[in-house]
Amino acid sequence: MRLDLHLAYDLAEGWLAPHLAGLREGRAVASLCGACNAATFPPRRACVCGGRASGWVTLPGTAAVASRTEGRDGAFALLRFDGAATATVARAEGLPPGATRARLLPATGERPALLVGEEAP
Amino acid sequence: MWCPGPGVEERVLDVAVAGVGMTRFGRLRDLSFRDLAADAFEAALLMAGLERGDVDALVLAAESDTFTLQLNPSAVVADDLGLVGAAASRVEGGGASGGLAVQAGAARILAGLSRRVAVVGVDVTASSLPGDAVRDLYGFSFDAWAEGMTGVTATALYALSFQAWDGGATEDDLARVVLKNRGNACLNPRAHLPRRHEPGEVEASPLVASPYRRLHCSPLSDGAAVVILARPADLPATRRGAPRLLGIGAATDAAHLGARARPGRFAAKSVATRRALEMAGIGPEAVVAAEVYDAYAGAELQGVAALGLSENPVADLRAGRFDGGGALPVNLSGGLLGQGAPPGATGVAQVATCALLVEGRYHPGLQPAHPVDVALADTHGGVCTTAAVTIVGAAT
Repeated sequence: MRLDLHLAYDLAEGWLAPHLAGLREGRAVASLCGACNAATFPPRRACVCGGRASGWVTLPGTAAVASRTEGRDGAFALLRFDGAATATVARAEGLPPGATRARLLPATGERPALLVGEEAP
Repeated sequence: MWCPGPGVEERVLDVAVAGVGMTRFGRLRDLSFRDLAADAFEAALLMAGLERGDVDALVLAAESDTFTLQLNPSAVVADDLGLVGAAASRVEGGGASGGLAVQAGAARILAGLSRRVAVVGVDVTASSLPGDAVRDLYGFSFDAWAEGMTGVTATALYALSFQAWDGGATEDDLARVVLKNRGNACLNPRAHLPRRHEPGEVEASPLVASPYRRLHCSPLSDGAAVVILARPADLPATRRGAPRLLGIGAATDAAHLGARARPGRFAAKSVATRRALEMAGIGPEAVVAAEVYDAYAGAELQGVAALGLSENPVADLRAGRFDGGGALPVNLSGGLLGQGAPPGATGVAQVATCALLVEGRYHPGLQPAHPVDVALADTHGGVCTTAAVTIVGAAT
């Protein structure tokens, strides 16, 4: 039997709203730990130190690339944003092969996605 | 150290894998997930020597309602299996769902809530939706609000984790894992991908997410597996010597790959293994066969390292230690790469395989020549975000 089901989600952004708003504008908004003051990007409520996030901080938006994968599924990178205590995975179609630096790009489309491109295009 | 309370260790050692059943894994277009669950259950019940009325609890492992389009599936499956009246619940932990369900079933027995538990793992990821749709859904298996929004795939995340691993594996080693597991699958009549790949075939397959190519990836599969757990005293005399669960362990890691200190290490698996081994009162050297979660070729090597089964997995792979005739065969079933990967069924099938190996009644050509006193079943969800390790051993 065949069934076509189309689901249009309207997900509450909740606590992550400042971060997701930043992604849409190309700003790297990280969570700030109330205990150790570390910035975590993407945000986490619980810091690696065991403390809890207590606020937000906007990072420069530039990052060091640790590794990169590409193929039929697209291009993605593992990178650490300057000023952040943790690394992240981002879509990296605009990042030239071999690039060691990147910068956050404004999210395109409906999804508030983490996109990176050349640091200095 | 895990410190057992009074009598706890004895209780863990007292849970038997009374019966196991499994359907073929593959693209089974003519069978619904309900058919698959029923077929596997009947086989397990027969092996256990029990009547359906003897089973007082059902624990169902099914990864996602998006595959079956059946919310509250445990009640429907209980009805199908003739278990109305039994306690029924569903356990979910991504790819670890089956392993976690076995552990939840054992916990019910240990807690005295149930006497005989049917753990049913089932999923239909091959035939219910187009492959690209399943790939997109799997992208939300991680942090949907972070990685998921980028459109990242499981393959890309696993590739980034493998690149960060310090085990020294080459492209040839990835191919060795594929050839080993799909070769084992050739002797497993229930396997999805029994293949003897031609030299160079793996390396020539299309690039999905570097370094992973299509043939480095486990398939989307339909299938079901069942184990029936009980205390030996609650079983017919013929099954009181059935294999035992010696130890169970579970753990989690940071959901974001980048939030981990070492993204190439499966830290949650190491913690889960330590817990399971301590409960069993044995060291990793006691394990003589293992079913390891090889969603991707490199993940098997990362997994073997995290499980503590080898100090140098790449060297041991090259030396043939993990081959069917090796000292520590890994994925005799074919693993996810060869046997297939219906997520809810995977971990249950691993425990079933371990139990059959311990009993010495696994498929001809795959049962090792040496006695399998202790076997290990390893599952995880996410990129080892949720880990579940179960150790099965002989009754004595």
